[in-house]
Amino acid sequence: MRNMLKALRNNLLVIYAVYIKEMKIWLRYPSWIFVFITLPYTLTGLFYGVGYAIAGNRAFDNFVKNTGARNPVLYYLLGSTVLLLSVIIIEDMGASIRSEQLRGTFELHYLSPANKLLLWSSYVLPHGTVSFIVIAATLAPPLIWETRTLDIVSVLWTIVLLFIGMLPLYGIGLITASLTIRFKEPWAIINIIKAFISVCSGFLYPLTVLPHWLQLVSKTIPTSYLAVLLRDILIFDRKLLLEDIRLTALVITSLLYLALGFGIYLRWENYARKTGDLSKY
Amino acid sequence: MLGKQEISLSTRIEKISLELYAAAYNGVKTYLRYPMWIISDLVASPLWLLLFIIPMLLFLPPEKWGNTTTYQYFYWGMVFFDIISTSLWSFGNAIRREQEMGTLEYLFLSNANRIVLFATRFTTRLLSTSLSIVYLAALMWIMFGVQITVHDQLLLLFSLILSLFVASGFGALYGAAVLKLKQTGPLSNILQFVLIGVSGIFFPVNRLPPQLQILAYASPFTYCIDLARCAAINTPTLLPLWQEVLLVLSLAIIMNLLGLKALDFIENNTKKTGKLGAY
Repeated sequence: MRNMLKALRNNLLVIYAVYIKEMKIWLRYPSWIFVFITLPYTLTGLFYGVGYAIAGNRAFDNFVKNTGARNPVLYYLLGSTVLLLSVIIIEDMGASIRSEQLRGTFELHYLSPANKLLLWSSYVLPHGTVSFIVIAATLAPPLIWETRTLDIVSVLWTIVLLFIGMLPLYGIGLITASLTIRFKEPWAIINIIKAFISVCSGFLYPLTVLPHWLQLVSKTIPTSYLAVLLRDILIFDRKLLLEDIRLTALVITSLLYLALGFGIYLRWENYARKTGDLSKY
Repeated sequence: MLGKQEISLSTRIEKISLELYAAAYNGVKTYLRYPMWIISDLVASPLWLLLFIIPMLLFLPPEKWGNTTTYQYFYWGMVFFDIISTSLWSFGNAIRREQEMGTLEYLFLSNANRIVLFATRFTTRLLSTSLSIVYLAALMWIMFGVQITVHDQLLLLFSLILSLFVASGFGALYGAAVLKLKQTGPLSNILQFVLIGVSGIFFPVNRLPPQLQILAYASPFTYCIDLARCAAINTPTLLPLWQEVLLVLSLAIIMNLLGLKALDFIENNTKKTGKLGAY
């Protein structure tokens, strides 16, 4: 029992240390947080502006007909914020390890008695904190502008959905981390993964506009369920029920991606330790 | 003057040609060293293209989604999206990359013309943009069944080359800011979308609200895309054609001269204050 408590305390210390370190680095460059808040607005402005320029006065009516949503600004703000956060989480796991390698501190982690999986996993917490701040700061103004009040259940559902939705991204992040350990410069592959997830998730459009085969592919991507569910709560004011099949699909696919990420990471880390690839870069 | 050597014009041309050759060679070698990046661009580009085009199409009725002219506008918009990104990320941040690699001080210690800093990136981007133009046209045909046609090939080639020069001049000006401010990633991100929005790369700027049109006319890229669109899809130009050609040509020269002057000024300033190597 005492050993278990000691192990728990040590693991919590690892999480705490990573959290403090990463938040310090985030706050060292606060201008990036400003970019994450303003970028969804610039993207929304771009889509809306171009849409209006090509469609003229009928632009809004066409948008309502195509999406069912009556507020293009909120629709794109929500979509581009979740898109941005997904891209950041996918990139960050690999990027964190790569920057440790470049700073020469990567091997030092392996000399410490900390659980490595927990160590790399802890990175998701500080990034999660920044993500929640960004989402709240981005979406609050249009919601206040519309004088809409979200009930506490909807707010809680949004937080729970975001948390579940981050798990598969974290799983993909672990795969990118494995690629980093294995191939050192995996940005080319990460670029393809990011583009694929972004298109198939339908963050910025209803998935029904995609070709049929791509709609089938998107059913295997957890973030496609996340985007639809978040839109239901925040844009269409619908109540989410526990027996909703899309919620079940989100949970199952999220856990699958997470397990896949852990599996690949452990396998490649083991391989790198055996072959001595860990310190080569 | 003591220590100053007279160099003939031919020697000067030979010297700068050699420097440009070395820079271009460096650029091509670096570009081809990472073939995975080229493959990644080829695979990911159609996906990014979809991600950008579909949200804009949602403002049109579905029966108009097959309109050829709309896709021609999108196509040239995507090409200029690439050119504007090049200006900020490739030319502007060339200095930042040299800083991070620890080679900036060596370059500034050499007597090479500062333009070589950008010539390396220019060669790489010329290769990459040419590839994008061909590849995006093929994608438009495969994905949307739209054939990209060009009304005046010579004018198009001329406008694209001039646009790349304008982008390099703008990049040099921005590069001077990078040399001074060091960490400009956030600024580049915001500036990129502002330039794309106000320069009317996806639509003619006369469809913008009047207040924004003032900003649009101040952006050098407005005239570049306007000229390229006229050459490609025969749209009317903002100014009479010959005046617009002359304006883009002047912009290409003036912006590069201004960029080099700004770079020279900031370099001297940071050398005096000892901040060249601080980042």
